Amino acid sequence: MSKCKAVLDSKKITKIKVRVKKEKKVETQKKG
Amino acid sequence: MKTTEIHWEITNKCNLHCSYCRSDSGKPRPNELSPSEALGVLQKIHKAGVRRIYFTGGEPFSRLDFKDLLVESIHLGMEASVITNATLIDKETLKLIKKLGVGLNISLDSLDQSKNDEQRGFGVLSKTLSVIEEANAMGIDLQIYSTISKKNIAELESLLSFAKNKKIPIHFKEISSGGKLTKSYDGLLSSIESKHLKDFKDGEFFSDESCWADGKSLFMTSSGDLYHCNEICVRQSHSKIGNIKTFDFDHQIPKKKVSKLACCYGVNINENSITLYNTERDCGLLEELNKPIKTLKELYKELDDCYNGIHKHCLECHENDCMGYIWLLKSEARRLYRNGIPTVEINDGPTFIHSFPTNGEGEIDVTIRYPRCGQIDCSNRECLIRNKRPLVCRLYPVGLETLETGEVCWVTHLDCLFVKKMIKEGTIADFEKMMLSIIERISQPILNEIVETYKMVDEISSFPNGSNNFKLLKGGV
Repeated sequence: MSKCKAVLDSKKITKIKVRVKKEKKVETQKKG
Repeated sequence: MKTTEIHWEITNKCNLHCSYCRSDSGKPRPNELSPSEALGVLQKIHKAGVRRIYFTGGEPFSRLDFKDLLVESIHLGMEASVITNATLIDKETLKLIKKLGVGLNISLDSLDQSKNDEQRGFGVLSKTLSVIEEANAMGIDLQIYSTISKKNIAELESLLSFAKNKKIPIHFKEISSGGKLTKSYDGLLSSIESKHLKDFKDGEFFSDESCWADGKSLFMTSSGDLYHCNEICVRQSHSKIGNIKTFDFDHQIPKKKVSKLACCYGVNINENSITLYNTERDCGLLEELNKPIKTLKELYKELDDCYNGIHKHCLECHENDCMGYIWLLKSEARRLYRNGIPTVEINDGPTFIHSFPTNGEGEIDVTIRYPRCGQIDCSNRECLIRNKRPLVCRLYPVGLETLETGEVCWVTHLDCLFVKKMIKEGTIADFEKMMLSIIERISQPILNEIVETYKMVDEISSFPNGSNNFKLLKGGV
């Protein structure tokens, strides 16, 4: 579970969704 | 619950070799506390509010610094008593005990020399009786401790009479299996004999079969391991609640609801004697400790108890852990979001605590290595959401990893300062047993969710330069 020392593989990432309650919005960032 | 009493097995070393010894005494345990560590423990438990110590063993007086520890206990203002076979006590020791006001609880199983010495060793009875005589004459606070087996059940009256004549309280304890004493031992009482002991009364009496292991009183081994009571230590040694070297009395006494639990021992408190008899029930607390972990909240609690004392090591740690990919179970992601913690979901799959930098175009870069966790205070490494922190943080240094064969395993991460300390002190095996006892009780639905989420994280991450440093804990998850 110590994936903290791993690196996320950019080639495998197609979609990133940031959730921030304070701003009451969901941002979607398309990748690849 | 504030701890006020410690039953401290000060050493496992013993000069006698009683075949029925439940403590399995003889040789010292590995890693027994050194003289300076033991003195430090006295300071620590006194500061924590402990006001009474019951020293047990082994034979406490076989420990060379034991008298120094008695002196320090009293000097600190604590009360102390010692369970001893009395064979190593000389006149000077008795004078010291009298001066300190320490109580002596002396083992005596029979007044018949051949019977007592058969159990305890040649010449033991005469030495024991002479110490009892001398200590009694000096006005030392005395109790006689008799272990009642098939071999001396017929002597209850004579032992009581001996004690009453000398105005010394006597403590009868039914023999039970554990330690050196196996279930095939020929001295175990039959059910009729056991009932006879239970029914043995001496004037006015009070009976109690409830569990008293509520944290007010703890049992500590000679290597500093702490247990709710010595029964848990004998029956299930991995269920310790921590080690005194790292134990935080202010925050980490597990609160067990023992008020409704039945004990494996019953007690009859009589005018001149106390009788402890086996109730033929399993330990209620042990049953409680072995319950399946059915909710995430229960799992959090078990882990927090197990990692007693880890916090200070986290604050001193300079490793890159607590940085980056703190992944969340679905319920955790929802909870943290509700609590205002920013999160990042990737590929409609795993969610992480948002710890990633944003580039000039406002896009976040999730591929950066070692991003510091967004919930760590940079100035002091304190976790800003410690009470709300997710499973992955509560589990660390234990976690899931995938071997080259593709097998998902539970592992212990070796970069952790807490783990390094345990390896140095030789306590890592105990820790691993404790962790396994937790892992193996996680109910299937929770385990499935953990493993499935881990696999999704594993799918999109890797260790580019092989820096993952761990030791296998349990394979085949």
